Amino acid sequence: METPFAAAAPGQAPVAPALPAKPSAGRRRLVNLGLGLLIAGLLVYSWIDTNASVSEFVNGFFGSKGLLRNVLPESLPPEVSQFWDGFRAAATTLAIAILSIAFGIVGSLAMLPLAARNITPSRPLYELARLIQAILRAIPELIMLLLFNVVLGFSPFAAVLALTVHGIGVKGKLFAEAVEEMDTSAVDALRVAGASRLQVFLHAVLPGVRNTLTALTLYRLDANFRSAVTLGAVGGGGIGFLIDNQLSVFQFKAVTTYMIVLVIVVLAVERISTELRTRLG
Amino acid sequence: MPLQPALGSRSSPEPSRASALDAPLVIDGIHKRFGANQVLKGVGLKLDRGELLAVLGANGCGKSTLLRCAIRLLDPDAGSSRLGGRDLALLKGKELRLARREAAVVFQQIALVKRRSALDNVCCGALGRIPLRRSLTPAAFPHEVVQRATIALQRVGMLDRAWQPAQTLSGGQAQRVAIARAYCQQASVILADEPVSALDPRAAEEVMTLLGDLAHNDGLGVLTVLHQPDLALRHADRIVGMRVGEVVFDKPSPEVTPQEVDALYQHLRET
Repeated sequence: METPFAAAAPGQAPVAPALPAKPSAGRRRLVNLGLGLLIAGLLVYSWIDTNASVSEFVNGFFGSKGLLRNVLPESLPPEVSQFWDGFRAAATTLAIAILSIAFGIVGSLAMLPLAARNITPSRPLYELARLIQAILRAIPELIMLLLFNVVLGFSPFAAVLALTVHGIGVKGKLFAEAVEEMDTSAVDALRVAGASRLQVFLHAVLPGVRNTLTALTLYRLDANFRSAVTLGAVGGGGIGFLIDNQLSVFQFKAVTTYMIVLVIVVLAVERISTELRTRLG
Repeated sequence: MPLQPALGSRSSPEPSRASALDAPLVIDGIHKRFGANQVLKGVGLKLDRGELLAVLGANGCGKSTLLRCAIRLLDPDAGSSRLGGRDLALLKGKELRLARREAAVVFQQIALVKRRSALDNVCCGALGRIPLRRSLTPAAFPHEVVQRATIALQRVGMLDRAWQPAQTLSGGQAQRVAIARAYCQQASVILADEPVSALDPRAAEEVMTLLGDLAHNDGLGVLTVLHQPDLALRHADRIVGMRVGEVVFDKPSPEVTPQEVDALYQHLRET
């Protein structure tokens, strides 16, 4: 009987058998062509819609009023006396990021028992929870801040709330996906033991995904810090607010100082976050 | 493995006098289909107190599905499963959850919460009997539960590793902790789904000895799905052979012949 691993006869070189017919690539080629055309169309549309121009790009960087010849000389050396103010403002931005992460965790965990497919009590509740998260994610933090500014006025706390609401949408989805990917054998064991849904959540689900959730939270911390800087420029306070203020009065040397502070703090937050995530394994 | 002396709290088993009504688990005419695949075709069996029952059969013959249908982790298409005298098909919600406490499950994968200690994991077996306010964290577990868990760990010879995180235990040790959790659940039935598949021969022998001991000394009904006919023949009181979703024999293990066991896997060789 012929077997897949039949050896060649002694003294003879093995002869390669004929390969089965290769499936036709016609349909795949058509799909690839279609995708290529779609991407090209999107790029052309984006170019036209944003009034993109090569000459403006070159002028913006290298022209007589461009960044390199006009702004850069005005920006150096940095204004050393502004360093302390920069760090104070960066601390406020960091506080916005930390508080919004904390509130976001509470909101995300509250939705988690409904939003993870493998532990949700019912499919409609799962769909509802995921829909709410999708809506919260869909509204950008900046728009959220503008809405909260209307209600609360310009303040760092408005930025905290904006980041929190958007963060519940983002972290809620990430947390739910972490639970959906976990090994549910411990969950099943406690369910059979007669544990209630809340007991199963507290004693099998949360301990099972604790490290993953912590890692995701730390990852979101540096993302939130960067977002908090942006929100600062539209009334959220912190270092973003200072940069926006100094730019509006063309104090480029102070702006350079704040940018240096910003880079130092962002790198420090990223480093700490990465280090902690590595230790969590 | 030296086993600790059995607790005296459970009545000694008298399987010979047990009737279908007394039996803690009676499965009758279970059918289950996944799409076009009819996995169970009217399977029935009875598990007595004090009995270690092994279910043998090739991959895909429906053993694990039967076990899951028995406690309605999966809903059967037809048939009934009476656990502790209650027909699970008639129950739902909280009633079903509470009725299911009578069966503890030991899974093939080590179904422990890895970052929690062995003791905390064992305590979780009693969650179905602890009010919510006393179970929000392991520190809030009632003293009696911790005591019962301690006894259970001693019972499986794991007391000295009570504070060790589950993730640091070997496969055999973790499976013994899972059995302690089942014991702490105070169920009348233990259902074990291929509990030794991931273990080396020595650990497998220890786990089977332990399951037999819980059946014979503590009067629990133990039903285990196995892939090792030799372990089944050595440890089980009764063996149920399954082939393509049907029971082909159900008899005391001394009466099971090697040919009957061989026939369970015959179609695999043919394909």
